[in-house]
This record gives sequence, structure tokens and C-alpha cells, in this order.
Amino acid sequence: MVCKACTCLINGQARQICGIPVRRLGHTDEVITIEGLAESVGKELHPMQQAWLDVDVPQCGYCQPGQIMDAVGLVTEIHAKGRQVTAADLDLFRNECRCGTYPRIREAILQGAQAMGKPAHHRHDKKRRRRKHRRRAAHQHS
Amino acid sequence: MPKHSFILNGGRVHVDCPSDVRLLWVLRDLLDVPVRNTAAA
Repeated sequence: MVCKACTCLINGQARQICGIPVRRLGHTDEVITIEGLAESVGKELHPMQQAWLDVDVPQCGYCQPGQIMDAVGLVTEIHAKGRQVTAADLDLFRNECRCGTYPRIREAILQGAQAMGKPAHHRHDKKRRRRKHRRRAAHQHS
Repeated sequence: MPKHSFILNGGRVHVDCPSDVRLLWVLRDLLDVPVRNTAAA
């Protein structure tokens, strides 16, 4: 069992980098640390960082970068499957926080997940609706 | 010493170190990525 405080995103997936030898990284592999998270979405703060501040999650702060990075990885993975984050997903979120801020962490992940956008199938639905609307408009004009 | 190259926070980095060095040590000690202890980072 590891504390997961060092969690970073490697090619978009949350990974504990204290256990990954550098030889496993290839020329095209992309590592994002908490320092580069906001820049990865082109904003001052990533939506998950903003949620963390809004919910006032941190206490001592030691585990927080890892919590945020793991939360981003989890939400990205769940959204890619086309569904929303559930309480059951949060039950499997196992980053250790010695201050016991777990209720606020859960709340912030749900808030951050909403701010990160809708699951993939919702986005596809929106695209499909837009395409259908365009087709209908073109048909009416012809 | 083997050379390793990857993309870190949007920029390419190169590092010369033994292949079994863990990435955490590479970032913290060799690439000087600062240690952050706050959510606002």
C-alpha cells in the first residue's frame, strides 16, 4: 500500500510515480504534475483544483496534490466510459489523508466532475442533435 | 549513462540517469520540479 501523494498523470492516467522506473517512459509519453495541471486545460486553475478550493478541502495539505491528480484521472476515466461519477466510484478512491478530510474530498470530486464536463456519450448526443438540426435546416432550405 | 526523454507539463525534458531510477526522484531531484503541499499548487 502506498500513500499516493506523488500521483501524476501519465498519458492522462493517474499513476504513482514513486514506483515507476524512468526507463518505462518513452519519447512520446506525457507526464503532468500538479504544477502543470491548470496549464493542461489552458486556465488559471483546473476545474478540480477550483472545486478543491470552493469546498475548502485541504487541512495539512500533504496529500492534496495526489488527491487532486487521482481525482482528475478517475473522473476522466469514468467520463470516457460515458457515465457520471457515483458514490460507489468514490468508495474505491483510496488515497490516504491522515487529517481525515474524506467527506470534503468526496464533495469536491463530485463538484469537480461536474465542472469537468459531461460524460462522452452526452457529448456525442449533443453532436448528434446538432448534426440532425443542421440536416433538418438544410432540408427546409432546399 | 542512459538518456531518457519525455514530455513534462507540455515541454520536452531530457535526463541522464540509470534506467531504474523512479520517476518521482527524476522529477524532484534531477529536474527540480518543486514539491507542492497545497491544493492551489
